[in-house]
Amino acid sequence: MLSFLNKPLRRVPPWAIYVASAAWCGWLFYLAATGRMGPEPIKALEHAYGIYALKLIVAILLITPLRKWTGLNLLRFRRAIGVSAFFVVVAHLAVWAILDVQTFARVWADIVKRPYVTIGMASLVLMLPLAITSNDRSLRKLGAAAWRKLHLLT
Amino acid sequence: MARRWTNTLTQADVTPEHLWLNRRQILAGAGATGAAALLGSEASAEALEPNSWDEITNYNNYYEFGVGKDDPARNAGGLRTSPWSIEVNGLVERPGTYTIDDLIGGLDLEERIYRFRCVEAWSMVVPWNGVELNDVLDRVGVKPEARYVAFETVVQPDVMVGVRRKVMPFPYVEGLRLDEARHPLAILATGIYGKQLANQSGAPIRLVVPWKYGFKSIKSIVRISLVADEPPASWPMLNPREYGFYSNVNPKVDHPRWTQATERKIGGGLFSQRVPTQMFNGYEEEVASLYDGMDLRIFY
Repeated sequence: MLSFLNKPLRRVPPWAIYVASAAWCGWLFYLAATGRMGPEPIKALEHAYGIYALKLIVAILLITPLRKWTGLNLLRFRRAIGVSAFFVVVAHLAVWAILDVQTFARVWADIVKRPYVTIGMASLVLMLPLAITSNDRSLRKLGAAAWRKLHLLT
Repeated sequence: MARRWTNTLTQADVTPEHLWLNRRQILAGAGATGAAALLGSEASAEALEPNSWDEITNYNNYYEFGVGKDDPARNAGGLRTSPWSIEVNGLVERPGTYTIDDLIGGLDLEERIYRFRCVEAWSMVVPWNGVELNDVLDRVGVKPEARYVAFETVVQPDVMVGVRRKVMPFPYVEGLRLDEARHPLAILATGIYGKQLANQSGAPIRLVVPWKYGFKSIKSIVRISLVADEPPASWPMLNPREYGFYSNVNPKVDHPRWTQATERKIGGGLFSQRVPTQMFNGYEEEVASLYDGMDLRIFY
């Protein structure tokens, strides 16, 4: 169905995903810093990054079903989307920890005491090995089977 | 009965809106030291600097108009505030349906610059215009059996998107113990910065109880009932573990999902620092005696 898109998409380099993600995060930060995200920009930016990261993660998970059911092949973008998602999650964490909560003691208290923060931190920890091994060298070193198993952590 | 509270802050302490803007421009441009010297004469460095009208009217919780902070500003335009009537009933000498003028006309209209602390750990400073609830209660006549005051917000489903989506049970209801309601700090407000309340701020008349979390300060009131028993309040009904009837600002009792020890002042921008929350929102001296002998960890 959608496989006619495969050919034009082949001309889009995967690094464009990194550039677009970084530009989007930068733009959101600019809006927040210049008072264009409402009277309380800290929460607004925190939520904007979180929701963008979530969208990227949903996009990754859609790649396989899309290929299966519509023939649309986005496999070559998967790593770029995944690693971008990781960086956006780190940006989300940074806004929360540095701009919102502000002190390490309170950050730690929140991670331990508030279940939704605990879940968020656990998700980030799960993403960490995937981000670290998202390069060809790690893939060769681990072997395809082990690498795939690891990446099922998503 | 409590002594009449005298406001030490006056209109002179409100930074006029044009100076507010000036100050920001100057701070953004030149160094802060130069700016302070420039403005020293007209806008003195008062302890409580009110938020701007724009901030006050663009960051609201008014779930009848949606759950987002900017939803009320966007959606409250259709609220019909005139004519307005308030039903006063229960244990009162003169029950009935009052217009706003019947209820507060002729009473002392005062300017009250109060800290406003939301349960969500953000805060503002608002220059309210209003009358003491105490005076209103005297006007309607409180029977001796009355121990609590209950309030109810208007419901206009055709213009209230949150009501149609049933985001929580409506009408929104709140209550105070009679001695809290009689406290001179508690007011019924009709304006901010000398202007009529914006719809999203609770037009045409709302409660302001500055030592309690903001959700106690019920908006757009259509019913005031004097009752003998503790009346239901919307948030404690919805989630009694997280919200109590008293809901006094208390940095030592955390909300289950976040700390109440600190708060963020709205208007400080992306890099604003959290500040410590004060007991009873800074009104401890005035109101602490209302709660003598009560364990505020239990009655949160």
